[in-house]
Amino acid sequence: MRDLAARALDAARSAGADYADVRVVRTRTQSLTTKNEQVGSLDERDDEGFGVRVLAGGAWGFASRAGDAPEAAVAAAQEAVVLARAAARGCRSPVEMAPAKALQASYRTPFEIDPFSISLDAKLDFLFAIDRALRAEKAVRVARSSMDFAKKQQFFASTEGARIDQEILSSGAGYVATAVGDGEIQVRSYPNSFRGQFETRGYEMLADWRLLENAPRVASEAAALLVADPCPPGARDVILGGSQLGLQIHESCGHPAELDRVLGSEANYAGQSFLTPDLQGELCYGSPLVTLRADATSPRGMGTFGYDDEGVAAQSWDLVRDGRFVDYLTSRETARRIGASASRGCMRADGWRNFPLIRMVNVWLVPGTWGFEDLVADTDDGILMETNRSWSIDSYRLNFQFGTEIGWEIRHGKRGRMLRNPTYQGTTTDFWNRCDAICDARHWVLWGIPSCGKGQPGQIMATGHGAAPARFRKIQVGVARAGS
Amino acid sequence: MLDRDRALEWCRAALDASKADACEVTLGGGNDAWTRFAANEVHQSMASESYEISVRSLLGRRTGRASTTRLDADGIRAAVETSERAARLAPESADVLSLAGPQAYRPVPGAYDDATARLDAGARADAAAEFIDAARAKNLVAAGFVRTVCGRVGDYGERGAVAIVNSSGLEAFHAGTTFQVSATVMGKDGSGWVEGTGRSAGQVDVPALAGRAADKAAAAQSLQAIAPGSYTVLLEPAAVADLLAFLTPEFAATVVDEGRSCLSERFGTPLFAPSLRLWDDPYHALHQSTPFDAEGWPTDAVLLVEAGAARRMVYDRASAARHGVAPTGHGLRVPSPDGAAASHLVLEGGDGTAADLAAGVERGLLVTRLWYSRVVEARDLVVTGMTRDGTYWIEEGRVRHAVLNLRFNQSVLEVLRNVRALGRPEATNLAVAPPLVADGFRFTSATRF
Repeated sequence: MRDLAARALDAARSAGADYADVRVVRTRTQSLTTKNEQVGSLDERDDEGFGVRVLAGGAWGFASRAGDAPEAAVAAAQEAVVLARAAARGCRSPVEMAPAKALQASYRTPFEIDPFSISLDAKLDFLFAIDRALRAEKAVRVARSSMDFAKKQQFFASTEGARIDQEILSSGAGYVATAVGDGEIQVRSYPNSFRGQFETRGYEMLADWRLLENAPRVASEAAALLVADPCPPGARDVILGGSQLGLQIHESCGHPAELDRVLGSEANYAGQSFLTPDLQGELCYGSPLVTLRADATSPRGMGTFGYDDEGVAAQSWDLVRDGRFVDYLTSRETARRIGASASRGCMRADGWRNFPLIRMVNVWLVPGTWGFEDLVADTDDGILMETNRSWSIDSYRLNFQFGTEIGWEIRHGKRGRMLRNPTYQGTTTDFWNRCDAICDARHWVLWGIPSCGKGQPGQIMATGHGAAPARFRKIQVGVARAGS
Repeated sequence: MLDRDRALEWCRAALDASKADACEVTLGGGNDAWTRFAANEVHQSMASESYEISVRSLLGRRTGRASTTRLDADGIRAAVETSERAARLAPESADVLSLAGPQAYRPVPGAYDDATARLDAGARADAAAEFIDAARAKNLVAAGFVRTVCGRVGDYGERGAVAIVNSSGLEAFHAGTTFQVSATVMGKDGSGWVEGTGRSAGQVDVPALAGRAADKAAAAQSLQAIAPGSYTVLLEPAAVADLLAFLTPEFAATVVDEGRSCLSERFGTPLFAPSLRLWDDPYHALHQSTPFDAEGWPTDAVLLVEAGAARRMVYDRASAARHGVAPTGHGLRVPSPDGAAASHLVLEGGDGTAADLAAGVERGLLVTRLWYSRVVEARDLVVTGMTRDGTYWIEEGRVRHAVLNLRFNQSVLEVLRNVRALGRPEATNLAVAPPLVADGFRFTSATRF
């Protein structure tokens, strides 16, 4: 890795680059899906390559190649300079970067059990057992269980002298029961939708989540949803479970705080943001209970690492403090553009083939003081919603609508009937200002989001969102079917 | 640029290393080059060359898969060995079929354009400049991209199959190019958006698109609020394609069989406007896509919807065997939970442009594109999402003014039942789709821009 990187940097310099960095990345992944006790998919992937990013003539150029051939490193570096010079023809504001220390460092995800050391048949047997447990409920037509593991080794080097080794290990597992009947299709997932829970951790995470033990409950909930009442429309108090609240944070706080969106470079696809620089330090984003922290150092988070893809060390800081919007997720280039002294270290690329973008580190809601049962008991007319099923938000991150897999009505402090197809809709700042109770640290979980899409070309990135259940007053619910 | 001989040579190297009962090797990927612009400047220029070998080994009725981007002898051998180890540990499955033998493929003569394959960063920057200059001339701001692909690379870098070789003698190869542009042009209040896609740069009229994007944005200033409710809509092709894309998994035989499709137990029953004809057709002049599926089986053009009802499903080899019918060549990588997908959708249309269709709308909304659409209720395929980058009020057949963007909650099936006019189909990134007019489209809330 080091030799290839050195050759690429030398070639970039010789070709006239003012700055260059190179990432040499090798990623091993294993993805298993079972369906009704059969192998649904089984894929092991070994992905190796490098990407060279250069500044020449004030513009960025980037070229990447699969493999590790040294001659390809030279060719890619030269191509990156040609690409930058072509871009410079249409670039009127030369790129400038905030300063960063040239670090010589390394980072490795702590773990106990390497998931790649566990045999495939042991993994499949475990997933088949879950499928069996789910299918014991006869309304469950399809039981689908999965495991995903990834080990990414990366060497970063820059013409400024940075040399950084990292190894990030992640593990994920989960399942979904699809029940069919009574003219309905209903799903119930565990621990979370979209392939379960993900953590930067080893195989030991599976035991903590008691996957098999929860399967009968999950299956019976899927079956019960087929005959549950639909979520009635109206303005109700809503208690969001932690994983759903995690996605709410992702869409309505994390994304709008990405400074590249704010400055317009993602306008054509991901969109822009209502969190414009004039609002920094001024906007009342949420109620005083709401503090949202960006943290690339949270143990086990999918947005946890040692150094970003510009070689900037992982940090922890507030985006929203006591309800007020205070800071952004930044890169060296965007930090400079708003006059910040340094990058927050948020640049990450999807593998070797992509140009790094500002990507969310873990963003989490600081826990409150409530016990969960106390919160339910304190709610007179509300709906508890758990586990995301659908998510949608406008391109400035204001108008959103979420649907969850399951809901329960709360009347006079007691959890009552189950509700199917629950949805809620609102506008970001109005919604967060309606937050009047957050559960305490006992209920806080750092949920892993394995596949957030952004950029052109599209890039997939993992991150994490920590939350305990929280209550929001008088939210519009049941909007999907209201008036139809 | 990868030629047939080199592609098949890589595949055969894997086949030669195989010790399994049978082996299938897929080579995917290609060259993918982008020039991105924003704030009326080019800000990123990049190119990636990336191929991946995926090896599927069969041991009786057991199968395992492994993939690698390391295409030297050691990398390929390691992938073969990993796939064989996976196959040994996998349980037997009745759906694991012996591999297909040699097949004949329908030619797709317009799929590859050498001049497009050779376009360089300077040419892409020139195309970007068309959008920037058109925006600047109207005191607006442009952001977007110009992209060329040689091979098969998805929007997220997915490496689609370029070649498939198996130990039963099947050999498939497909060369393709793509030229793609997209731009959002923004003013103080509102924005306009265009996309263009073709197998060659010559199929995409960049100056015309640049002018259209700027015109749309100029017409999108001074936004007026409109109350959410049920409206007649004129959906432009990109908005139609966004909705059609939700049907891609719904026609798969396995998904239908398992009751997971909105069409399960509904084939042959009235669901759509009687005039509607929906195909899956990779050979359509505006698709010109790969003529085989992930198993190397030749893909048929399939008429999915006709005379108001869903008529045919799409099959991979396993689901076709279960149904006792011939595969349609829509198989996904084996093994796969869904089996197949209808991923080359074509909705037939008429001759009119969106402007022509607007003339027939008394009161309604013109929608340029949809954004962040997601399924809310599976059985009726109810989808929520936002309008974006150009939503306008139509009255007495004329576009009057732009409106604030709206959120919809709408069954895709219902839209296709309520269609009352169709225009000329266009190539979009998701499907070949015409502009269409549909009544009773349900908007449930509005946003602030």
